[in-house]
Amino acid sequence: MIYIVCHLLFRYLDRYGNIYNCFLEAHIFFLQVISVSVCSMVGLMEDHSSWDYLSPDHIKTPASNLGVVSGANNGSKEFSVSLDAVVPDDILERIFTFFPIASMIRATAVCKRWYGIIYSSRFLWTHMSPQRPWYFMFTSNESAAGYAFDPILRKWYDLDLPYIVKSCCFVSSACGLVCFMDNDNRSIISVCNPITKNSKRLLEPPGETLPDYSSIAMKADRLSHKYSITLAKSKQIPGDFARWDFSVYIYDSWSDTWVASMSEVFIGWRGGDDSVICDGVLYCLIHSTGVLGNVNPRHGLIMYDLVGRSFGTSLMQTSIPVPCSLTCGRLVNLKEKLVLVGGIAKHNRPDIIKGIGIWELHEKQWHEITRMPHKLFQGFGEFDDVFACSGTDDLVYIQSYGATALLIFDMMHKQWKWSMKCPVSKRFPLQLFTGFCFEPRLDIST
Amino acid sequence: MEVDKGKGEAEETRKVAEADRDTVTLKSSDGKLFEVSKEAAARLSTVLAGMIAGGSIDDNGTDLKQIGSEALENVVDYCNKHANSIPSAALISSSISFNTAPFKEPEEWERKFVDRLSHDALFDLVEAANFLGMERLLDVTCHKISEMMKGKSPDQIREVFNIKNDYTKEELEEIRQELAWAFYDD
Repeated sequence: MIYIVCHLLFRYLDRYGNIYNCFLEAHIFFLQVISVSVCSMVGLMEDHSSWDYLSPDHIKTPASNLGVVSGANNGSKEFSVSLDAVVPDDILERIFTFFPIASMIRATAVCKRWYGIIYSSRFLWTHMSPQRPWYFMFTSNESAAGYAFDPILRKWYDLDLPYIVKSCCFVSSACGLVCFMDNDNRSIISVCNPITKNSKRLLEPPGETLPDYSSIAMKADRLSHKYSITLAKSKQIPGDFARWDFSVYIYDSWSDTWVASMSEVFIGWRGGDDSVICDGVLYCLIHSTGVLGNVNPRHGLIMYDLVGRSFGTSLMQTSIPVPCSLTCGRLVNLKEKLVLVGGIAKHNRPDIIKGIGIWELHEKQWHEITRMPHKLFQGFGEFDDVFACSGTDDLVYIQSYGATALLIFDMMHKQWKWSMKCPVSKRFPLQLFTGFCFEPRLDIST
Repeated sequence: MEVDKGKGEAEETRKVAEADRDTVTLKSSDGKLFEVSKEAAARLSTVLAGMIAGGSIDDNGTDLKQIGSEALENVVDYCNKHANSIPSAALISSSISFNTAPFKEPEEWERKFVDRLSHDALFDLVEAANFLGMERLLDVTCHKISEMMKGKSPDQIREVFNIKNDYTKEELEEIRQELAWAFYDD
């Protein structure tokens, strides 16, 4: 997991040369090699004591609008006849379609009939209420364990994933499946359903073996359950400071093969490590490398049509700038619409974050959806210029790498809400947390 | 069969009157009569819609032998309330999330409507809604039952809904171990 720590810091260092990050990185080095003076360590712990916990006041748990948990029932109102005797299978199926996934799993333990309906009914899974996406949070320890937050029942579950290995930190998810890529050589790509723990390791992707930057994105079909994964690699052309090779590879589950899809040379720009597929289009954030002078904003967005394959068009020429100067950007697919969550940079200080904004892309134009209220932004305590963010359906999760506080934005109701406090607590100052969101489903496998 | 001419005419007149009326009369298994808005009945129940269109509605009360008076009263109450309520935007668009079934979140008044029912009455209403082909009422009642089950452990569900546990201890343990996280607080 220390790789995650280093990775998270390294990947922004080259861009921003942020002194604050440099310090952090040095101290991580200290933790590893124990070669930095004790004094600076003490100083560091003091500096970041606010990271330790948020006061409970920060993690408010307002009455839930995200879902309703029924209260205790009046004992006198219990059934005089057995529900099982009077209710036919199709009514039971209909009742189960309203269940959150955890209730569904618990219901399999009620009786054999219920188990049979839940695991074999086709109707149930095609008519199921959309499950709101969960957020899986994990931290820098050696195990593959973490906690998953269920926004309907507002609970954290102690879930372990089969494929979170020490250095996995590229994640994408779609329709109940989650895809991971390792950070060491970026060739170990696995897919799993975190709910059923069904998993599969994919063939090694072709192309450049040690790209400087890479990102994965995933899409899945709701009915056929077929999925595709894109891998975008970016590598500086040897001996050339200006030019970067950018290429996209696509894996399809039905053919179980990787195909090289496109390649282009970018001048003064490089690919990043954030990409997402919305409605058949792959979107990637690109970064100005600075060789062409001061470009503002320093981030751009390229669009690659996976269906039409954008033959003959330059991705660079059709790219669009992000809406304003950002410290970092995160791309999210919300109901097949592209949403950008960005750290808004201070004027003339592109490495200092002053707030967080959310924009939606509509016909190549950015539309601002909201900005995080300042009070909530402050609620994170220490907030780095980079942060973890992911979303699906109509929820966006935002987390600071330095703490377990998790903020949720509901696109439909345009509401911000803190999650319940995560059971993980911070044990040392440099402990970092991250996470990803996924749709909880029992019926999809790799 | 011999047809009484006078009675036939009377029948005819009554049918015309019936067609003009904006309510229909329904009769429960125990013989009680209930008036319901014809428009709402036809809109909410596929079975009643078929009967109205097919002219098999009896002015003296259409027999619904499978439905007791308490359940029928709730059905009629629901239809009449539905006739008076303005469908909200949420109900019309039914939320377009995903391309499977639309999510059918109950309206505030529908929640209140089912909340006041006892467990037995709720289940009688489910049966009546199922019999009459009332999709919306079926969803609202099933949603209510799902909410009653949601936060409960398997043991509590069995107790509240009077369900027999047909698992052996070992089988149950296997199910719980498989996805232990979902059972952690039972």
